[in-house]
Amino acid sequence: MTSPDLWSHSQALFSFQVSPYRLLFSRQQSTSSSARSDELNQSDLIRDFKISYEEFKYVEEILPSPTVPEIKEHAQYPTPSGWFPPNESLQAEQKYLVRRTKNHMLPVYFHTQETWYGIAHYVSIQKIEGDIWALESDVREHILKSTGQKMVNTQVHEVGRFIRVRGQHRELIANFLLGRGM
Amino acid sequence: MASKVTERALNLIKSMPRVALNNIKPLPHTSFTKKTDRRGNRKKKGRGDKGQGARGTWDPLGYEGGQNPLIDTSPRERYYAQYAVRRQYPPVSLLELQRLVDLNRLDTSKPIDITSICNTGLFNFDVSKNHFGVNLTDEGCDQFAAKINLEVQWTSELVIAAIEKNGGTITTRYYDPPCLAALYDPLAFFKKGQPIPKCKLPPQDALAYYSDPNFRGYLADPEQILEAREKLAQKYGYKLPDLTGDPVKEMLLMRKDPLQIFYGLEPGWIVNLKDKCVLKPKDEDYLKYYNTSY
Repeated sequence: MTSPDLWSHSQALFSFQVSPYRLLFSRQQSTSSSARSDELNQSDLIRDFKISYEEFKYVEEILPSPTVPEIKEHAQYPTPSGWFPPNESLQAEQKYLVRRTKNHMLPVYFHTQETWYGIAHYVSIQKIEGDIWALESDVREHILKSTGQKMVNTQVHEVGRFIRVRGQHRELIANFLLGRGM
Repeated sequence: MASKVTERALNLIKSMPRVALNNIKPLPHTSFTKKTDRRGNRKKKGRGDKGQGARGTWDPLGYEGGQNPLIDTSPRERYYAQYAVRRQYPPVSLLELQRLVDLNRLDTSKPIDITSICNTGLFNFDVSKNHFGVNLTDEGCDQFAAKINLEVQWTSELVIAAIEKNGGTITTRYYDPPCLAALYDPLAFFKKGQPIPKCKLPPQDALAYYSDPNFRGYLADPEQILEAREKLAQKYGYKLPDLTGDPVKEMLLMRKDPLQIFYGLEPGWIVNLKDKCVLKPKDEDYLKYYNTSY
């Protein structure tokens, strides 16, 4: 008949699926040399390689380009996705300029802000050069004219060179700027 | 005797009224009453018997004074069931893809896969959030005009039609998360100096999709895919462009091996970025592991 202590000990061994001999071995090893277990077993490493310099071209194809590639000239504009380049002759007529981003898109962004009365919607126009107040009045006029609103709130940041417009007018402002050759 | 019985039965039927809405009823044991009370005993508000537990507390959330509460009477609509386990495919639309082609962010002279889409830096996904690649959606399917060899993780029939109408080819391909991490950022992966992983087969619930010729699955029979291409062209009413005399036919028909994750590179190879070379281990067991699928 087995004693209860021995029984519980054997149960624990069974539940962890570790043989007592192995447990003993690992305990001996840990006391003798604990640092050696962390080192790599040099005999397990694979040393026999075939080195290929030609096939590195496939790696180079996968690696990302560190810069944004230059755009190719298209036969006609707008392109199938509706993109067209800035019109420099139209730009020259304006007092102000809104530069495209590095991705060749308009720097017009929609963002929201949570307030105590609900969600506030803003559209910001960035990368503005020249007369920022002239752009603000033109945008304001355009929004009042096309939406029929009585008023529109705008915010002009002269140092940061951006304008914030209150409301969900991203498409409207973008089309206005494209019409001015930006 | 039997004839008499038949005769009598027929006479009985003749004298009976016609079958109508007023004299029909359901067969026995076909109707059942819906059991609305899922919680059973409702005498004690679910608070047990007597004492502080029963009296010193307020009603449980959703308790409506004994009547069947809303949560029990209304049917459950579990939109987020198994959310943590489900595979997610963040969307990329055809219009966005066309914009990338227009702005020279994607090279159409080479096959386009998830790596080339991620290398633009304009789309990202998170493998740790169970994202399993991109879902190409049909927004802008009428404007799409590029001729490409595309490999995505999920699409619809309309997207396949839009791409094949322009003479392109499309494949839906499954990648397991470790492979996706390597595909998402190849430079970071090669810097680790680890061997290129082999791709696992899709899980049980995705196997049907990835071996379906109608969705151009990478495990589908190529001959069935050719049939499916023609069927789809007839369904959407366009003429399938002929690929036989095409100068870019070879590029359009380039496919990866089910185990392979990068074009031109095999699983098990190690990339040395410093010396600009590829190391191919010769060990037999190693090669056996990397060239068998489980």
